[in-house]
Amino acid sequence: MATTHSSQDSADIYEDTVVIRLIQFSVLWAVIAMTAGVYISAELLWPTMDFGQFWLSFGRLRPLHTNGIIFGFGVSALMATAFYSVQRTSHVRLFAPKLAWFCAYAWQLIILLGGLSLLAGWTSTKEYAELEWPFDIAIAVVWVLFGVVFFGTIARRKIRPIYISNWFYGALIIVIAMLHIVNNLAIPVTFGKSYSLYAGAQDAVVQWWYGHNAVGFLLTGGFLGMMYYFLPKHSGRPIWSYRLSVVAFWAFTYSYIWAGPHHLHYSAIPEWVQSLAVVMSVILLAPSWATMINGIMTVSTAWEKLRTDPALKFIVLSLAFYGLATFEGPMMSFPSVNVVSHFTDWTIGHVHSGALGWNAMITYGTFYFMAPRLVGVPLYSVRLANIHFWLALAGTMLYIVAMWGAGVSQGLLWLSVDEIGELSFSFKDIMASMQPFYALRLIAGLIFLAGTCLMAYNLSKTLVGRKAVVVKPPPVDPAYAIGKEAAV
Amino acid sequence: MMADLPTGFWSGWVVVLTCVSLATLAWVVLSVYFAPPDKPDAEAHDPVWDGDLREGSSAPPLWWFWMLLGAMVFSLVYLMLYPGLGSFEGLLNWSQGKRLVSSYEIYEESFDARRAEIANLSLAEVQADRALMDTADRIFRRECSACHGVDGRGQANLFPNLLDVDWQWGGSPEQLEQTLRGGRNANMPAWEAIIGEENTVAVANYLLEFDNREHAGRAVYEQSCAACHGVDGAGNVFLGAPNLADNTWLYGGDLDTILVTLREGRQGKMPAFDERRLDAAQLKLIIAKLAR
Repeated sequence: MATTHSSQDSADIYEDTVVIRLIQFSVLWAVIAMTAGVYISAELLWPTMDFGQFWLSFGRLRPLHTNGIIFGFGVSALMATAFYSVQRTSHVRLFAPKLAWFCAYAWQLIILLGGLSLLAGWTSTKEYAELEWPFDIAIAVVWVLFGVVFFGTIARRKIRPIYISNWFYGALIIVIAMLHIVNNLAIPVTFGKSYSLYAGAQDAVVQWWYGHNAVGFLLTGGFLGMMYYFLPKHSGRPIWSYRLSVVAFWAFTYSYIWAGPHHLHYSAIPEWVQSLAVVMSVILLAPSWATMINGIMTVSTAWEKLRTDPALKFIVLSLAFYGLATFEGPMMSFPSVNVVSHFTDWTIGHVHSGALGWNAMITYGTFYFMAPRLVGVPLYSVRLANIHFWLALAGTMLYIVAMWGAGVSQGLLWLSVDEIGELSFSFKDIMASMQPFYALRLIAGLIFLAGTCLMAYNLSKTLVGRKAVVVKPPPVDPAYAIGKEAAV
Repeated sequence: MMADLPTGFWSGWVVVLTCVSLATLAWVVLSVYFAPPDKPDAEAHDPVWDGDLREGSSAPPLWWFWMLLGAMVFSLVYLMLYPGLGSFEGLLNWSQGKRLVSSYEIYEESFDARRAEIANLSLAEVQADRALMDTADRIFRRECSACHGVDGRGQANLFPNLLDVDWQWGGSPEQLEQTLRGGRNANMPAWEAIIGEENTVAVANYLLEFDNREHAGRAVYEQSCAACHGVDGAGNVFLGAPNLADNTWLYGGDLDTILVTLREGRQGKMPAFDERRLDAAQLKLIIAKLAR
């Protein structure tokens, strides 16, 4: 362990070195996985860019891009922020710090080897769950250990009420464990190949129950945990309405889990399953916007900080994109809209308004917030962080607009028929006409990636070669204290 | 579809689970939203985490409550109208199966008469109609271009050029229809095992200068190749044997490729496009595009 204190001393200081390491890994995966994304977007313009190499083909780089972003960049960031905030909201050092270190490194190993296995062509073919069974087992084990560290810390907390961010991180850990294990149940054939336990329509329902709720509880629930800790912390304001957060939490966890089958409209799955997914997707708009309102109102008395603070700018802007994506989602879940949007680039645009605008931006904001505080020096360059902010915003907007244009065109052109009932446009011609949109998307991706690289440079200048600041838990109001402190 | 609707116990399970869940959600929202406000002196004792983190006590906005209520009312109405609550089919009696059937009906109503007309037009009439020929181009790009290329000029030295003068299986409208409807299988045997390497090389070289009747390969040609490709090399559209006397080569006309063709043989497969794939109108349009 990197801390220099004796075990006696370190018993009551926060374990922050593991957080620093996880931030660095997260940024590394962000750069790698976004580069893969930019590369495959270029392949859509110039298909020969795979140079005849299987591992450079779209089919192998695409899962590397998605898995790298979700599990490399996203989960490393979630672990980092969960470890950082759960200690501070529990007023206690991480439970089993060595286990936390094990989780951090084991996870990176899984992502590294898993990424290589995807390039080698291993795949279970389930979207966002492509990794084969040896990796699935490893993920399940490490994930449960992550839960042990997190809930162990909560169990040993010194303050009785559990802060709202921990509810979201807790939901993330529990639900993702359940989804991951159930969806990946499979019969191994060889070390690199297995067959799912489910077949046909059941497989589809289980897969999208997983796929949609991976978005729901990992990319939304977990990142909401980030929002609920870092936004009030950074703006110095209390969360606007505690009651709204409670209502939003329960309505969110309750309705999200039903909504997956809206990915399977007009398919062989039963209609009642599709209808319930529509209904729950519509209800889901309410808790999503409740959280957005709660966040915006929290900073509403601290707008002046937005002028000077890139970290807060990122977090507040991410809420705007969160509101946009969570409005678009329920609309796309209507069968009549889905007829146009499904299988088009509209879906890609929707995903990226969430992934770039919401997930990446709030993560960038929290990293810019945490990094200087973790090592006790100012951020290497606020100017670079401000440039990063504008690059991220420009990249995201351009990306979404390009994909809206491409997706809506595709959806409408595919459905159009001429006066004798033949398709008005051949698929190939529509595909060819997408070039300008794909070029815009490539530029957007490059802009966003450039911003991320700036951040990688900025954070490494801030973090590398520095030790974590020693931080002790502040005293707890005796009225709410647990255990020793309560007795004082 | 009907068959997908759960019956008996499972239908009840879906109904109860859905309704109880919606009711529970409504109850949670109501009880938290409209709980009596905290006592004024409780403010001082609000928990503080991490030095300065607090949970604010602002009353949640009423319009949000109406928004959620609206969503829930919408849900109930939706579940009354569409199949969603177990085996209840919904008041609109809508199903995706019925929608599919009605889509076909609407399509047939709108277009069947016109399509029957097209199927009965003469090729010349179709070819004179600019709009129909545009449609034919699109059908061609959808159904044929994967093999024969976007422009129909063949590709990969495997799939014949459809725009040149050569027709492997004949270019009359009747022959084209036969090719499309029934598919074609061309079979060029692997000759090296039969005639030996020396003769293979000799005949390959002869094919490059077909008019040179003095060539050493001519004898081999007449003995082994002429049965299908003809003494004069004009080919045979009934066997799908290409013309070897012209400058058009199906699989490539350089010496190496000709040697590969002779040594390993070639199998040319044109799949059949039956009525489910190309109806009478579509077939007419494709033939009008190809026939000259």
